Amino acid sequence: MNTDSIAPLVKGDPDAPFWEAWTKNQQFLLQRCAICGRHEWPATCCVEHGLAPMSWIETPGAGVVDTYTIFHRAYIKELASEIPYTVAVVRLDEGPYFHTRLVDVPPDAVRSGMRVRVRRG
Amino acid sequence: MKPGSIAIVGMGLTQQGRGLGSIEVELRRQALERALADAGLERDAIDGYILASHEREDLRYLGLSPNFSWPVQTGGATAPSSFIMAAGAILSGQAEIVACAYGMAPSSGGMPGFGAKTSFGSLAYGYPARVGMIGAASAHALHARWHMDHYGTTSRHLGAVAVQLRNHAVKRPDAITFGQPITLEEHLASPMVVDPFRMLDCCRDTDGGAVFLLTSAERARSLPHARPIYIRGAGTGHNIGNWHKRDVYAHHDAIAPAAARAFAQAGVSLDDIDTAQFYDPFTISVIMQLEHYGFCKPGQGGPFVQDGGIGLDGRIPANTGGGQISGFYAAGFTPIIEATKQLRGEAGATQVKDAELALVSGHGLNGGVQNTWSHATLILGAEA
Repeated sequence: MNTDSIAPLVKGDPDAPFWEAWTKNQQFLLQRCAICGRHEWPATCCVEHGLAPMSWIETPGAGVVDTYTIFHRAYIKELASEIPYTVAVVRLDEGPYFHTRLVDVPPDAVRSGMRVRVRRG
Repeated sequence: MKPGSIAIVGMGLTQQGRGLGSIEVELRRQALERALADAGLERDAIDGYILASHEREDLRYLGLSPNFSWPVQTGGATAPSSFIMAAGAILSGQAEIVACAYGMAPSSGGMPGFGAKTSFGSLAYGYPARVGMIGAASAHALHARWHMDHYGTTSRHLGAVAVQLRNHAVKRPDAITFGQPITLEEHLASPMVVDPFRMLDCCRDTDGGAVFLLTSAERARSLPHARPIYIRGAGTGHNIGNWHKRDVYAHHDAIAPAAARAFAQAGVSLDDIDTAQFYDPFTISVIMQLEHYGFCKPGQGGPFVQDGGIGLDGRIPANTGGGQISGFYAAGFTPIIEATKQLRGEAGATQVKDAELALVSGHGLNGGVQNTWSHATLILGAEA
């Protein structure tokens, strides 16, 4: 799936390091607070330490499906060939939510609580 | 806010329906004239103007000369929030008569130059759009799926909401589905849109204008033709706190702080509420709000509706005009309009007998990632 064709990043998007690392090296990055180590996604400041430096660090990209929805209708023409498709909110092992497409599992086999990980290669 | 210190003295409504063909500011102009007539006021009495959403040329087009014009946009909580802003303006001495105005024409496609453009942009919530999450239905579907998987809520429960709302609307000529009943089987057979929502779980865009005139309770007493109702309590909550705690989907949005403040101000309890008018773009919204306001236990919203809990003879008659799903979608004004009709005794065939206190909710806001962030509660009373 080419995410840029659906919703391109705006210049200067603070999440750009995440998408670049994924596109170039298939690295799955999260932000981490330099003081408490709390992980964040998307880019933000630490809710406890607002001015602390946030650095992008590589993580395994794994977690549990918290909830999901299956699109049976294409809201834009670029998605017409992909329905039905599943968008899940994954609770990453490091804590943050991550919205993602679920692949390699038919929509009717998706369940909340299912363990998933990012597919590389 | 002291309970009953602010009065709603005028309500003006245009027709609410599909593809009316009027531009948005014209809908507001028509609604304003009706609100002024309803209150028995002249247009130069309006010294404060609050517009749901943003538009540069309203005052010129409407011929108004207020002290201020404030745009407000907090999604579906905008309407009750505009009432809270109006109360603040009145109580701080900035204005005596504030118009809270709404007019949208999404089902007519909008008009260039009148700020009516609906774009993919307004239905995308930041990075989730990059994986194909687009539209309000999907954002609410995430809550619905969470609720189903945690509590065992079913499609039949969602259908029970759709059928109940329709049962209200079929009796109401002001609803877009007047005289068009549906069955549970028809709900279950309607096409899946964004799982678990079928077509009959979703509201449709409608065009319409609504203007409310607010003033102090004291000033309301000097208006011989007005039929005032009163703001008894108000509260707000924002779901971003739950995001920071990483507990978003169990919450329809942050209802707890909004409800707590509104009920504390009003000095009433849930048992005192005669009718509830919830913001209900999708069926799950009724179920989750019934639970989070405390009309039933967590997870029991579906069975509660199935057992007739929001019917006219139920525990809490709710969304008695058909709500947004079967009535009409005037954003956060839909619940306020119905509450006003109920408290004035003008709800026709779905009038709740002796309705004196109404609970109203607003909900929504595209704040990135989701559109279920902002919540506002009003408790409206027939008496101050």
